[in-house]
Amino acid sequence: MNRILLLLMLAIVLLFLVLLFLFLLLIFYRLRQVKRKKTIQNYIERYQEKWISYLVDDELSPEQLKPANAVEMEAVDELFFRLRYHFDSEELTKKINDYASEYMESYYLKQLTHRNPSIRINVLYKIYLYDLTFLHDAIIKQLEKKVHSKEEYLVLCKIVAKNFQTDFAPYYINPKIPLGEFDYKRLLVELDKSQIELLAEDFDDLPDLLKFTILDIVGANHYLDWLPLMHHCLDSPIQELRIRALKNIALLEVADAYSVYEKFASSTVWEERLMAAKIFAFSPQEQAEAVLNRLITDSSYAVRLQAAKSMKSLKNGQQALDSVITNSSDAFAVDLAEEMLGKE
Amino acid sequence: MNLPLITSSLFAFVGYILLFYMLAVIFVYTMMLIIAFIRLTKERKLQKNLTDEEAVDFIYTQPVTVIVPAYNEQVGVLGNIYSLLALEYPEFEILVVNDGSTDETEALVIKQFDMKPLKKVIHQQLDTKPIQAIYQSEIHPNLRLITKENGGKADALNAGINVSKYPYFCSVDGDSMLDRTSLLRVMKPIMESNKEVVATGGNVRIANGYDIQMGQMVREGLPISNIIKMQIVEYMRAFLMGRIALSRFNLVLIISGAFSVFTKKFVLEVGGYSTKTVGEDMELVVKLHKAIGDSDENKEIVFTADPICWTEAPDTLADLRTQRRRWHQGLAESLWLHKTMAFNPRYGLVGLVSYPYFLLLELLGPLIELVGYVYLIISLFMGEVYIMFAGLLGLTFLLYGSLFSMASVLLEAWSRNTFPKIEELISLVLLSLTEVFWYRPLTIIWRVEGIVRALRGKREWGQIKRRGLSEDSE
Repeated sequence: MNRILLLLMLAIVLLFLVLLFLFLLLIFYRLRQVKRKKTIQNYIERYQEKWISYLVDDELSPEQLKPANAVEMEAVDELFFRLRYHFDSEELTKKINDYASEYMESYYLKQLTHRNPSIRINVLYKIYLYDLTFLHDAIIKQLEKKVHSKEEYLVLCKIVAKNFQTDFAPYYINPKIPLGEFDYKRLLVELDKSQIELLAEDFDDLPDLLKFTILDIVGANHYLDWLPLMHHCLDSPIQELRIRALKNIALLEVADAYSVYEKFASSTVWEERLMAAKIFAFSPQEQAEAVLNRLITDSSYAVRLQAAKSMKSLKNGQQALDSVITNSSDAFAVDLAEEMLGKE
Repeated sequence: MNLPLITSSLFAFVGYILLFYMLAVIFVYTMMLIIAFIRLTKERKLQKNLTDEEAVDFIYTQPVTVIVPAYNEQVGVLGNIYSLLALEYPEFEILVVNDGSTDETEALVIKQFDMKPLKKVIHQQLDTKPIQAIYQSEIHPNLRLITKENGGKADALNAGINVSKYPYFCSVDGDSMLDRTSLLRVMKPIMESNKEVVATGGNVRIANGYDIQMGQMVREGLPISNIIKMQIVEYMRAFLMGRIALSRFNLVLIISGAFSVFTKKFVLEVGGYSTKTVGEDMELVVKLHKAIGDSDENKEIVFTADPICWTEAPDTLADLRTQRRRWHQGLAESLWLHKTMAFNPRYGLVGLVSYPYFLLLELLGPLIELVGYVYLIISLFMGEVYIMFAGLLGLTFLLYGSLFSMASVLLEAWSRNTFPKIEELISLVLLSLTEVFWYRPLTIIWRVEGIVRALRGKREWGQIKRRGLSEDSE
């Protein structure tokens, strides 16, 4: 028994020694890291004026700024990041592209195929930010690979969509990795209108989550000419699609098809009633008031609140709310109307 | 058999039980350390600032209500509000709930942010003490102050939930401050999971001694006080080693009340924060896990190491005692309130692993350790036979109490590139090695006191003296 106890003791002492060794190793790495950071900072301070001459004033040739070693490349990359983070111009993008393709291609390619996924993701974000179009083939090659993390796949898709107007669609419609709504939003938010139209060519055949996202993007960007598609979605058997369509019609701030929306004010689904209440904020007074007067006494608190808000934004909203205060027998509706007339 | 022999056998038996317990604990913590190490290895080189920018877009963030329960927080509340106003997040409101403070909290907030009374219909979804008034800032329209009768932190949070207008709420303690990107980063798991994650907890760090102005961290640095430095080590261990590993398997039962985000719908379904315990944050998480288990839904509660909330740690032993006693009492009460989950396969790994872990290691651990310390001292007087045994037990305490802390400090330093500086790292490592000789025994005694208070049904929170983190509090 004493032997086992002794072995245990030895194990614990050994563990302590291992930790001590790790501690010393950490200090060594930290010192090296501090030195490296200082070198990068020194390079930036020393050469930043020359870089501005090249990138902004066009007074210097890139040969004069050729990086001498890996640390200098890292410093140049840091400089690109700082500049690109604050400034956006075609000229700057072109200059960075030209320089990077000439002297730093291997630097970015090495990171793009690095074993560590964090390093790959970092460089992808930079490629996206700097618009490094010369890496197109490498990006497509990465995209065609079988194994990706979701994050990596999303940034790769975004790069393709940003730099190549039409190549992106298949990766969005049939993603290699299951995507959620948040992921689709990340992908779609920076597409331009023609790209959204390209994506929605066969709208009914798209995955549901992609349909929802397209509707949200259309609403957020106020694409009024998409209203017929929104109306088309209102006939869908998919409840969520109807709700999204209603929500985004409200964002378009038009309510010209009274009869289409009116039936949703009597829906059994409270979210549909809520969205109908939102839409009626933009309807002609007489049509809207009747519906909103009903919805302000709805069984759902959210619907009542929205009805009161919509009533307030009508042309004669104050009058309508006064009328609720005077005539309604629903104390809660009266309170809401009073709240709307007070400070909101 | 004579009496000395029986006593000796019994003593040896207790010794082996203690040794077995300690070795089991060490095994569990080693596993946690390895899991945390693997996780941090994956993320260590990721430049988070590159991804933050993208996430700021309103179109994919969900609006959040930040609720700040404040009771006698006149020292820290302004710094707290300034830090919240500076949050980089597209759509959020701040509700400061003044829970019947007897100091100048209310007057200070009203004056500083030019607040005017607001008429507001309250959707009373949770029972709370009456709300007396709601104010809205003329300068920052998304900032509101709710004044209500004193009902405790849980009651204040429930009042905030009733007034909140967004589908998610974030609870932040009145004496804490958030980094600019904290809300964005703590919301990310919820958004990215496509609503599978119902709650997230952020990393809480101690800010005593840091240079903070207008709610923003200007310079990081270590405080002078060893009590606070020891707490810094403790927080590193708890957050980096404990919660990262538990979160990996959806086993988190504690996400700090100082900084956590919840989906309002689920919290309302379980009846909000409980006013029956002093550990309302943990109780809510356990309750949510129970509801998830009961409904067979595939939902998660996660801890994210990255979002940072800065908090003020007690700087005297008396205040530290009050805090630790309360935390442990809260733990005991939360586990007791949901005892049906213990070893219950209905709740999956939460019932079979997480609950037993919190019961046997976190709750009863201090009690067993205390027995261990007493045993160790007695062993030294029991003669040569027990010296070896006492030595081994002592080493397990050293490993558990100090070496794991040292490992956590190293893990933290390795995973972060800027802090701590080399001299601070050396200071923390050396201090962590002393933990087992002074800090650990003290906290063990206070935590045992917490168990006793839970058994006696005491309800007081106890007051901790605040000095304020931000310069503007002085």
